[in-house]
Amino acid sequence: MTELHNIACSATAEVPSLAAESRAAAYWTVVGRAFRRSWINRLASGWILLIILIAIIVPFLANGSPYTVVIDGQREFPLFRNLTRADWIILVCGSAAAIYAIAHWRIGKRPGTNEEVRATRVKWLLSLLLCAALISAGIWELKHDYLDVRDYHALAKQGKLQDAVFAPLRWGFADQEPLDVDHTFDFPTHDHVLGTDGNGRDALARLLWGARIVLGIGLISEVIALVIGVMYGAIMGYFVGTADILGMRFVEIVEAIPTLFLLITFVAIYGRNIYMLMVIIGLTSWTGIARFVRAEFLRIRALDYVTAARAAGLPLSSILFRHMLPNGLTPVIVTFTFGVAAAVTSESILSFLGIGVEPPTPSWGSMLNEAGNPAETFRWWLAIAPGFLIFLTVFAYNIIGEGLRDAIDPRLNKVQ
Amino acid sequence: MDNRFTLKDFIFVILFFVVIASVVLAIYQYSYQEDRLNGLKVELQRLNEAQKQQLTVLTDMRNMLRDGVRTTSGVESTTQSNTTQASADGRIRRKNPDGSLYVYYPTPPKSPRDPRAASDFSAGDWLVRNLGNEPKVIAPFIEKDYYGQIVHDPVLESLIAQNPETFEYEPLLAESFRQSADGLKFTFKLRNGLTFSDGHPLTVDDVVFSYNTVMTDGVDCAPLRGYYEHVKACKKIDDRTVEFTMDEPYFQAMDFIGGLTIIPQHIYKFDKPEDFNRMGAILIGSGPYMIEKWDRGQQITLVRNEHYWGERPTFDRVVMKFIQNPQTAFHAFENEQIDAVSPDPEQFTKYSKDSDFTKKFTVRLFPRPNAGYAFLGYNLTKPMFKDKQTRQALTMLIDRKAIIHTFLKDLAMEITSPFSTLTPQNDPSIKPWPYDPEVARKKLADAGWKPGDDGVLTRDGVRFEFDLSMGTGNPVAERVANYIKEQFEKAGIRMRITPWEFAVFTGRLDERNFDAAFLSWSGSIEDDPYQIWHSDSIKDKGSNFVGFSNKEADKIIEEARRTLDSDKRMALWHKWQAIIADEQPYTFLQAPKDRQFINGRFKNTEPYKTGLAPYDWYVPAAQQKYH
Repeated sequence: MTELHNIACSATAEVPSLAAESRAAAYWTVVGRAFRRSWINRLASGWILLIILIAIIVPFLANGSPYTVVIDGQREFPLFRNLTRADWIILVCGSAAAIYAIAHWRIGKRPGTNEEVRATRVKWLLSLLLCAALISAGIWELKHDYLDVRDYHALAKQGKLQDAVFAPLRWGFADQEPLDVDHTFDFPTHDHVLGTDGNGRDALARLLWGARIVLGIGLISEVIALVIGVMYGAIMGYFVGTADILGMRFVEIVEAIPTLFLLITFVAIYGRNIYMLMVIIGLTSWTGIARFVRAEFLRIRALDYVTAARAAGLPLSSILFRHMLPNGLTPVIVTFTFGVAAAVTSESILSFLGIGVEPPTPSWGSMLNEAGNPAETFRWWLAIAPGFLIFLTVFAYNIIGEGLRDAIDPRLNKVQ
Repeated sequence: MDNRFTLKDFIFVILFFVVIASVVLAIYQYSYQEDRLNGLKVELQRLNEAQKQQLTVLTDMRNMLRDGVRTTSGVESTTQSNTTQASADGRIRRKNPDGSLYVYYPTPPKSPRDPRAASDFSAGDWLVRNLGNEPKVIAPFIEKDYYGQIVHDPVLESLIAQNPETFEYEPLLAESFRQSADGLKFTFKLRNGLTFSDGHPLTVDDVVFSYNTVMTDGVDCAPLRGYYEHVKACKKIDDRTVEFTMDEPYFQAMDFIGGLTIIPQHIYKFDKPEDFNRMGAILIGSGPYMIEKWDRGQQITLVRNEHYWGERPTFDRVVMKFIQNPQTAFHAFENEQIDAVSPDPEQFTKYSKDSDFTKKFTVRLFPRPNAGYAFLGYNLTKPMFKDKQTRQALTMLIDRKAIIHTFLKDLAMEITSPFSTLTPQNDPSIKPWPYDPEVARKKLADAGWKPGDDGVLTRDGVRFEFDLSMGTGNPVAERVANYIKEQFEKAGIRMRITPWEFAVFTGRLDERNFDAAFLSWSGSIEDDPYQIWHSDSIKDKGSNFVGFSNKEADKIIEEARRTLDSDKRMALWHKWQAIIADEQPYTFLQAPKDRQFINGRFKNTEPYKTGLAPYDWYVPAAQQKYH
């Protein structure tokens, strides 16, 4: 049948796609409104946003080095000097995201057609992405992590610091109490609101810094899974036939790999590396997304506008990702949020087994492990906070996933 | 088709009934036979018990007799060189002026604190231990782990034994042994009336067979065979005498020649080495206990060897459980399901102060010369560790006393070298490096390290950044590593902690693929530094993974290994120890102290110098729990 419609010009082919896009924009507005209607959804997204905020600005919240101080008559800014490359890059990306969020909202308020708004937003997004990438690359290349040999806690006790302005919490994630007095596993005190761990490090500071790992592992691994899953599912769903059958068998093979055991084996052989863990979790958890995308594409490929696009002789990538994908993405977003929750759980389990992050990097799972290591006494006061935070975060992701699903579901979605 | 009952059918029916009848008859016959057999069994058991009673009576009489002799003989005098000691019970220990040694014990050696001498001693009851892990193989020589060795301990015996208090060699299966003046010839004379636990006599042939088994290529015991490298022959002289010859003197030769476990030839006989390797679950020896059963995944049960050639063993049964989780094991101990447990530092400090607990259970804390030590090993081939100034500075940055106090709850000792501070091998005049970060920083500056723009020390373009490799799964070790990282960072040294799964970790050590390593060596009573410190051990994946090579130290090791006179050897060890303490190829951290909680019903549980001896424990008759 495609042969018959070869005469159609490109302009006519764009009409359905344009319509589909503007419909898509309106559709997301409707979904967003439906999602925000429920207070629990608002709460869950607020919680995740709070954790994201903490993960970005945690160096300014919990740090052993003061913001500014006068030592030997010289004013210094140790906290800023001691920020690592990773800290700077996270800050840059965080600010870029914040700027975009504001821009997105402001552009939406401006008058203009859907298409204009969209174009402006894309412009903003691309320029911000480019800026963030350039600055990050520059930081990565030029900046070296500074190793501060000063012990500000000791100096403060000796009274050698003048005009010191400390962070709200005066402990970094690796700062230890001196060893001469046993400060390991202290019960919560005035100095350490949540107590100390086995190295005499402040539990609250480690809890705040741990937010980074939890967020990072969930988001990065699921983004990897999303990219692979969408591409793979799209190809399977569009081509059907042999590609689909073979592709589905491969999906089944990947699904048969027990991720946790693979991770444990990997860590055993190649050592602990949190980035590799993210990649592995990503590489093994894309199958769910691929299945959903395939199912959606099987449905969409039979629709008229796809036939029209094909008839117009559009390139394959355009048909797949420009015309079909926006309409088949809805279930993927739901799977994505559930996947993030699963990845957080995986990391916690690995850290709990003592094979997660590299010490002394804190993560909530490793803090739980330290509190309840089977070889040692159980310390409930160290277990409560990280356990509760893991629970809340996974719960929040699941609620968001569920909320999105309800908002998307046309049977539940009675517009206004 | 008609359904007439033909002759053929008739025959079938008859045959059918015949078959049924014969089956019934067979059943009857079997049950009759079984009844007869049971009757016989009961008879046998009665006979057995009678024999056992007689044996007990006999053993008791023998003990009484022996003790009687002992009381008249008085206290044994201490050994001096160039003299002969013949105590009244007939023991001879003769050290000839030419250096040869002759030892003769007419009766097997007794424990330093013989439980049978106690007034409330009573045989009986069980000892339930926790092995921690299930051994894969329990057969001698080819066992793969420490757990297998613990099972061996009461089941297998060797020609001589080491006294746990004096560290002296005493003849066990042998009645006497002789060491030639040049230290190359060892002659053992077996006791009369030795038997294996199956009643089979133990002869010189079994000794020769045991030696040959170890030396057979293909028998899965290569590391063990390494120790016998210089033993050239094992010869049967006569029915009770066997002679080992060596091609090179070695100070520990007596230890492993005399310490060779003797296994029964009639059980373990093999044509091909693989056949022996396949007998991993068979364990039969001449020791006081024998394997009763091995419940896979649960426990190994040992039972008293009623045919034991020596004194009647104390316990009816010894059970070794495989409880892996330390917490579970501790709960099992608290509920008196197991009789002894080795608590972690924290549990130890908590419970040893608890008077309710100490009323019910015995608390033991004891240093042991063979407990080993923990250390930080520096890869000397890396440019940052190549000079001793730097290594000394690294040691001085670590507060080892505080590590012992805070992380190990004072359950360890400071050390200065690989030698245990409890043995004469250690020179007490060598003191550990002090903890002094200021001096350490000065030393680093003297060694040419200057802080770079980013605060990290740099020397000739080399940044002082390295990975610390360690094993996973030990929370205390991880804490110590975190502490060391923090200390080094305060001096401008950046250290990354990289925990590895243990097999991978040792593999990386073999490949010399590490910067610094944090682990422990297990120890022995007199340490032979050749394996870890001689420059010969660097190649072929040897244990000298740090690559320590010092000509003078090598020479001292070689000389000491040839020196049989213990005083001269100790002087050499002290010289060597001074070199090691100065060079600091390792930062020697600490040697652990052993901790044990023991069920209160056991008596005679004081540790010897070599540690606890559970087979010397006993339970007074009134407190016995299992019958």
